[in-house]
Amino acid sequence: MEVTFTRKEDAVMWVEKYRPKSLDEIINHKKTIKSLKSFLNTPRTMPHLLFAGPAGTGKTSAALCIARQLLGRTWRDHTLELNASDERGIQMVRERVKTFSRHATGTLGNIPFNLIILDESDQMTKNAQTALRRIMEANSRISRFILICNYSSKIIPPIQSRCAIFRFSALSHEDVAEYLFKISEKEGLTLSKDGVKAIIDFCRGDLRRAINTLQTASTLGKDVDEKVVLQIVGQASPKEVLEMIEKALSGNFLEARAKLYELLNKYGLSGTDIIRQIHREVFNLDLDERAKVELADIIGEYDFRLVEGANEDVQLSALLAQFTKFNVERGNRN
Amino acid sequence: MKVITTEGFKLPYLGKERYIELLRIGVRYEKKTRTFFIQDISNVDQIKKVLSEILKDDIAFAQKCIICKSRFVCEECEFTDYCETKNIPMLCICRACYSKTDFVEEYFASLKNQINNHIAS
Amino acid sequence: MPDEMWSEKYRPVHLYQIIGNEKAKLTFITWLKHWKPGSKSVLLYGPPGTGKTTLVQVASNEFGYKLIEMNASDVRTKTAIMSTAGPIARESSLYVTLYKGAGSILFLDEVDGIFGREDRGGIGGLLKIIDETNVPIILAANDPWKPKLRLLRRSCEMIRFYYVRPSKIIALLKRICQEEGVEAEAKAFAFLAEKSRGDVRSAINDLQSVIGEKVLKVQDVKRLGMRDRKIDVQEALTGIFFAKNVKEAIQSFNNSRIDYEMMLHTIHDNLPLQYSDPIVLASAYNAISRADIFFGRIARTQNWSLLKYAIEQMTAGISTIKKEKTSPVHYRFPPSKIMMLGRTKSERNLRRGICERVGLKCHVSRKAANTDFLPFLKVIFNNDTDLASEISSWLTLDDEMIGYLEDIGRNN
Repeated sequence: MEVTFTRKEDAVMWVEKYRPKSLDEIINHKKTIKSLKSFLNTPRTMPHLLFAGPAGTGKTSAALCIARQLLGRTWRDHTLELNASDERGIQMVRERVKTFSRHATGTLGNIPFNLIILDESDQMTKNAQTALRRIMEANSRISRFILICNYSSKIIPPIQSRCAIFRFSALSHEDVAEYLFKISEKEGLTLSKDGVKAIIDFCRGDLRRAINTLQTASTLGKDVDEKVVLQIVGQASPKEVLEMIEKALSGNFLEARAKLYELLNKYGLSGTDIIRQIHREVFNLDLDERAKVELADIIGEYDFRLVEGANEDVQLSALLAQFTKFNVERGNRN
Repeated sequence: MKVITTEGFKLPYLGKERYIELLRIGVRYEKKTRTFFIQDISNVDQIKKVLSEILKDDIAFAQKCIICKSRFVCEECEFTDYCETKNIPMLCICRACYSKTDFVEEYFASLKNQINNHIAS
Repeated sequence: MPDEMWSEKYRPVHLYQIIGNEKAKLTFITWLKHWKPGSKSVLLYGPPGTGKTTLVQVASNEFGYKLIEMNASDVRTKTAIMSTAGPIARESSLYVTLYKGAGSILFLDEVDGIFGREDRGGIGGLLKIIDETNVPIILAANDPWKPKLRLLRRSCEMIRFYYVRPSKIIALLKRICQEEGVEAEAKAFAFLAEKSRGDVRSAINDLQSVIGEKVLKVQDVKRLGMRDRKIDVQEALTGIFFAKNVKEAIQSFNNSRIDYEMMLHTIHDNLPLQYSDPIVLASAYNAISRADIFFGRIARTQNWSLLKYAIEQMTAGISTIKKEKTSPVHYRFPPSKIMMLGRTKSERNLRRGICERVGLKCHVSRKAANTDFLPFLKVIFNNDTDLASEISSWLTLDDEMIGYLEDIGRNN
């Protein structure tokens, strides 16, 4: 497997600096990339596209490559990037698409169409998606949409049926390692094998987080090994998570909950982020192994409730209350 | 829904009992013009109930705009959700007058006119 | 005088400045204009803050009467009233006729308060004074329908006052803001009018209490509403936490004016204040966690028939837990989570600004920028000043943002 990069000299964050510029630079998702490349030859046959898959697997990169390769030098003038979770409601989306179409169409010439990339489109409500469908229809003569989402099942069927769907599976650990080693080489870093493993343990198949971790680790020195990575990961995770768990486990619910609010409000972490970090921290605690497994079981239950429920702070507080109870019962058992 | 204007409305033949009941709760009858008037709105709920029985329909009392003198019903008003005197016939401010930029001045001017005319009469 | 009550400062001086109850006002003026010994007295009645007292004060002034005012708060006993009212009422009719309008008016405010209890003798005495008076007598009451006041009602012309309409209250509040040079958000007036429920005095008092630095903001008015609901919350939470059975627990929620979402958060916030036993607390939290799951399902499916399950869990699910006897505490309201959001608002705005810039350059949402970039940026900003300054200029971060990233990195 060969990774090649066209370097973007101006980008400072490596995530951007080493973002693929053409579809050929994307090493994984072979089949997907092959079908996408066929659109480059006959652009006018390209339907709306729907990219589905986990974070950091190259969906946005693929969309940007298509924009660059299809629309040429002036691609930025003919591409509108929107993020459903950032826009305030479908009205805003409609307005921005409208303004963009009006302004971009005037210069069409040999450009086949305008491109509208709508990221996190599964964050939209069903009603908003129904409205989106109309926006797509109203603009389909001059525009193509690339919808990006984590779960295609959250996209309403009428939109799905108007799109060619491409699934981006999580990157294999080998693929992530390959990228990280290539970047290290370009940046003059020595990345050790246990260093790579530590990054992958932390980031799974999310290349974006992996590259950010690597760049952050590089600030501690040119040699990136397991120790350095763990230090970075520790610094990057708010220490409040560990403090919160410790407070709850020592029976101090109120202070634990105060920490929780701090994480939610001050750090703006989502419930899922917090529960993921709680899960990681629990295994680092000074507890007997059985207790860790029992706590993990409780965490799992509340991870599930978090998805089902309406209020993250209620579910996470309930989890902390379970931790406090766990502590008491364990005391009684011993 | 029937809209009743406090200063004069007609009713079908009532019978003696109903007629007396109406007079008792604050409705006045003018024989010459065969017109009913609501003289006293203190018992407005009862008036509403009796009239709606007589007319076999819901009753809405017309509101009168103190500024432009137009008539309207409470359903047209933007404050209807929490107005404590909804559907009691009163001097009020209609939507059009309320949305004028100088409605504060106009309202107080109407109040002044009203008082002056009344004291002069 | 900066601390002057606006409800006093803007008390009407002329009849036309009194808002609302226009017809009652005219009826009263007619009565006063044509009053002569032997005429009926009047009883003005209706809810507080609708202008009864004001009307009497302004009218007697404009018509040149000297107003003798008594009310429940300054005259407690009937003998006091009789000894004051008697002589005034017996003021020579000749005197009144000769100097028309130069006489006195006797005003007994809050008569339902004075003669509220068994005071037949008092009412009898008052009736006698009304019968023989040489001066106009005006009575006022909030509730004139008390049985004790029956005879009084008969000997008086009754003039009813109603709550004042929102549009008129808004007119007055706007006028006051103009006078005070207050800059106001238009929507704030409607909130104040709604909250006043037609009581002009309380609307003015509320207006004064929420104006800070010559500005009137919607959010401040909304907070005002919280103040009233505090009492309600105390009652509702006591009812829920100490309900004897399932029905009582649900009832306590239904009787309150707090919506279910606010109630969930309020219970959530107050649980640890009420229960210190971790076992009880965990069970209680399990119940509201279950309730929240139902809310989640309702939100996703719009199946509102699930609402009953949620409410059962968040009320009876807590009250039925076996526990040691406790007593109600002082409950916190509004929930601290909401207060917390207010306190860290500027910080959240700062984060938001950084995330927007990251999002623009790195093609990610603000949310992803927050979770996948910010934690790393803060480490970079603390470890490597060269890279930090490169990133700052690339992302076009301002000094405040840079300071923020350096700070949160250091604190960790």
